Amino acid sequence: MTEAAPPAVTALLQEWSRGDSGALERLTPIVYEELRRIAAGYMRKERPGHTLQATALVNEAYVRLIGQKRVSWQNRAHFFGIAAQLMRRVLIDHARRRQAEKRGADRLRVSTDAEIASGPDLDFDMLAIDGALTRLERLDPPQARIVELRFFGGLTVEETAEVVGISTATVKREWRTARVWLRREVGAESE
Amino acid sequence: MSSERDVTERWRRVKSILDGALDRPPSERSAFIADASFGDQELQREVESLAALSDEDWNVFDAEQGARLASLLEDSSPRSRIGERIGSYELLSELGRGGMGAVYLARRADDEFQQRVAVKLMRPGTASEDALRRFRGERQISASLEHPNIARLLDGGATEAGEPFFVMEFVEGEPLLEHCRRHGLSIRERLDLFRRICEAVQYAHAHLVVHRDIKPENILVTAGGPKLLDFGIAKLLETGDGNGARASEQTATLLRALTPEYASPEQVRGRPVTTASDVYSLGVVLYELLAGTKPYRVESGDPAELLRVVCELDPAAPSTHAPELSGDLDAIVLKALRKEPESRYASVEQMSEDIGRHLAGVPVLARRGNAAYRAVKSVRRHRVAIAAAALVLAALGGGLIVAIREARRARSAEAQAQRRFNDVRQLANAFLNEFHDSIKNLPGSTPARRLLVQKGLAYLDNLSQEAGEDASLLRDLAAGYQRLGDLQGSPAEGSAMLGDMEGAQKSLRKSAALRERLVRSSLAVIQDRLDLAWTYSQFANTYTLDGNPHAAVEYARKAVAMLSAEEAVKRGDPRILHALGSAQFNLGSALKSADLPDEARVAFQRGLESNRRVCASDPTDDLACRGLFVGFYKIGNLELELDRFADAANAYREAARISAEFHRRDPGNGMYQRDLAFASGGLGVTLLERGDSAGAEENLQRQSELLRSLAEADPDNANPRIWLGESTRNLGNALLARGETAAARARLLESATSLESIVHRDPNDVSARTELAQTDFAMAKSYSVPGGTDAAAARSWCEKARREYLELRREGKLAPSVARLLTRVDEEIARLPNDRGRR
Repeated sequence: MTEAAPPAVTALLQEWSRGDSGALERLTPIVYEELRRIAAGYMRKERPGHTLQATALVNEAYVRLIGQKRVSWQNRAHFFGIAAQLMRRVLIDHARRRQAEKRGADRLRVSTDAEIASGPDLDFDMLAIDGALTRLERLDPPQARIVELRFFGGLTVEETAEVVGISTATVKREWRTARVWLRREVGAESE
Repeated sequence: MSSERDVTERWRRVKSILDGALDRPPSERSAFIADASFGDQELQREVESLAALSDEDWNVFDAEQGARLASLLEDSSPRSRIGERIGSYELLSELGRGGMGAVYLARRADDEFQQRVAVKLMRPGTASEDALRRFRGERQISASLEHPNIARLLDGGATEAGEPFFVMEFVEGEPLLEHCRRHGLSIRERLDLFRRICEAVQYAHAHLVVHRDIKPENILVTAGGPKLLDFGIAKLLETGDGNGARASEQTATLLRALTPEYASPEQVRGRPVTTASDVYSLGVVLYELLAGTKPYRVESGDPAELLRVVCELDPAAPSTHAPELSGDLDAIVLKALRKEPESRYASVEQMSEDIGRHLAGVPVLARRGNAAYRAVKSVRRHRVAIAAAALVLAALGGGLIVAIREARRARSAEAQAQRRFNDVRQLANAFLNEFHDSIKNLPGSTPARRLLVQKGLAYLDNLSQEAGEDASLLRDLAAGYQRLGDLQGSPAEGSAMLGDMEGAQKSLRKSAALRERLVRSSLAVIQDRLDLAWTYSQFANTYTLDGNPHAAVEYARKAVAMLSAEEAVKRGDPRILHALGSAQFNLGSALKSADLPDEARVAFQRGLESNRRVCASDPTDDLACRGLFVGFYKIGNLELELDRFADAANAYREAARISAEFHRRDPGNGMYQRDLAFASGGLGVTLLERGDSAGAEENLQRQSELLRSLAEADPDNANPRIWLGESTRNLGNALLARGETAAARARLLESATSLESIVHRDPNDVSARTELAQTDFAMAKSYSVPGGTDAAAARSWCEKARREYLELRREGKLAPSVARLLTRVDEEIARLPNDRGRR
């Protein structure tokens, strides 16, 4: 049975880590598709009380696309990096759309209860965090990467440490100061 | 304006102080920040403002993003539709939700009798225009299904947003399985109920309607008996009907549309669906009804896996779950579940009749012609077993062993059981080998390796019990034990050091015994001899480490002799040369610890030669080319111990050059990083001895950096930290030689402290203890240098070192090369002038 052989993800990751930026362009949609597929699978199962963890999503995508074949360390890190970036993009695009919709909707009609209940603050925070994180990327790229993996990629402290190749203690420290800093940046933005 | 660089630097400082402040209780933070800011007011204010922010009430980072992401990725943020009008129906409440949409309780908006119906609202795009058009045509047919056990389809269409919807009779009942469970129905009662379901399906089939999605959730039991929902709907949800859609796309669609556990092989493959598909699904339902579990589980949404499981995996007979089902009922269920539609019951009616025969005690149809069926099936068995193995692997836990027992217990012929058993065994082997290979070089994987050892040992011991006199099985078992021994703590290059020497030797002995048996037998092939030689080599290694150099030399010689005798050596066969090279290195190490340095040098050089032969003809052979590093490094160590510094420096330089190249090519590989660290360290120490303290410092600094990052990446592994302690000491010695006494002492103290903490955690760690004694001695010497003499301090450090060495000797753990150091400590103590406190 040769059905559904994963595309040459490992090869693309290798090309990318060798500096072929075109490989990333080909890689991103594959990872995105896989994430979508897995998400669809979870939605289909829709077990009550079972919430899907972002980390499960990423890890499953990894196993599906790369499997347990021998891959170099960097490839694993690159992969999780791409996945976290994608998740970030998905969340941010959605938040932007929601903001736009809300601005339009306010003028037209009074929202139903159900609309309001879905938490406008989260969308706002999401955009503010994204902005702040972009600034942190200029200030301290390794720290920003940790935030991206933790927050958007949903990786645990341990997984982040493993992917970045640093100790869990370092991840915890970086994550802690990053949170405080982002808190201030996001607060400042809302004033 | 400050430059980008300044801003970055500033944040680094802020971060570091903030980090320290957050470590302290809030009351102490201000003082700490003021202290750490060294009067830089702006810095102080900045950190203060951050430290004052509590992020405890800010839970945005803890918000669960996963479920949100899943729905976003699916692009279907579910929103409430209650109160909405669909066609002429008003939605009242949600009854359930599935992958394709949701089901609502609704009422006709204009119906004064408030007749309640169920509205199934699908997501846009789940049914094609074509299908909907067809539906309007066929609705009459479906709607004309008038049967007391079939919920009627009343209406259907599409909303303005393009969502297909179906309106059905609202059935108040209990899902099938729940009903049986709750009422504790007997097997006979369940069979009776099932036969009524069959009647309904049979009726629909007679009206040319195939259900396509029969599953327990679609069968509700009401006061008036079972009632089937959703008749005729699944067909409308097909896409790409004959329009050349690829099978995999169809499968993916089906995956979404159907419940995979109940789908027939032909449905999963996207092949034409007939009444036989409903027979199959009914078989699954009956299986679950009787055995209390599904014939298989489809855990992931991966089409490839679904295909494998549904199309290739033979379900276990229901009686494996409930023994009372053996015989007729096993046969009936399995006949309905045959992979090929034509092998199943020709109709639902026939299936129902067979159940009737069983209930009446008459021989059933299903048990006739089974021998012929089995013969056809055995052709497929190989693939089936692989699929079974894949499932077992997914279960990982004790699943493998269960599978083995099941395979052994299977009532089919002995030969078949054996075949299955072999398949599972191969899987176990692949699991150990490939999984181990894939993680062994990754820093930070020690806990995973430990788990692997536990699981692996359990597998192998179980398999050994089941093993007969099968040569290939013996091979696999021996390889498995060898892997484990390697993992458990033998010092083979690149392997993990878990430090369980006893466990390692136990596993290796099991492996050696199996291999000796093989090599003596007539079935031995060259690989068996290679493997046995490798096992001997491993023994030699553990004996060397355990301080039994003579046993080590004996085993290492055995290994080299076996391999040198192979014909293939002359041909330059890389397989043999790899093995021979490392056996020669091991022999060299054994000879060195047996205090036979000249013989050791010859062995190292021969090992180097074996590897060079391979690497020269195939520079991509990493194993052999890295073998050159190993050889040079070992020669460097030997020459250094013999005080032949020029030779040592040359050898270490070669080793460093080779390992730097590997490290450059694969910077994430912990082994290459370690190699380079070692070579740099060896060179540093040698240069120190030669009086080139600047060169020494440079190399030792490099070693420290490499080791520090290794230690960080793998905090559970003590070795990088022991090496780091050693390296820091050497760096201290280099500084001492340059006359930087204070800096030197700081390094030495750092080394002593970190080694001390390792020993504290594991008092049996011989290498940490040996290194600690050596650092203490270096510390003592730092108090005997011109301009920094302190005899009392020197003496107390000397005595600490001496105590530690003596303790090691008492336990029989002082290697001969280290024993020399004890003598030097004694000499040093004798040389020290007596201070007042000591008369």
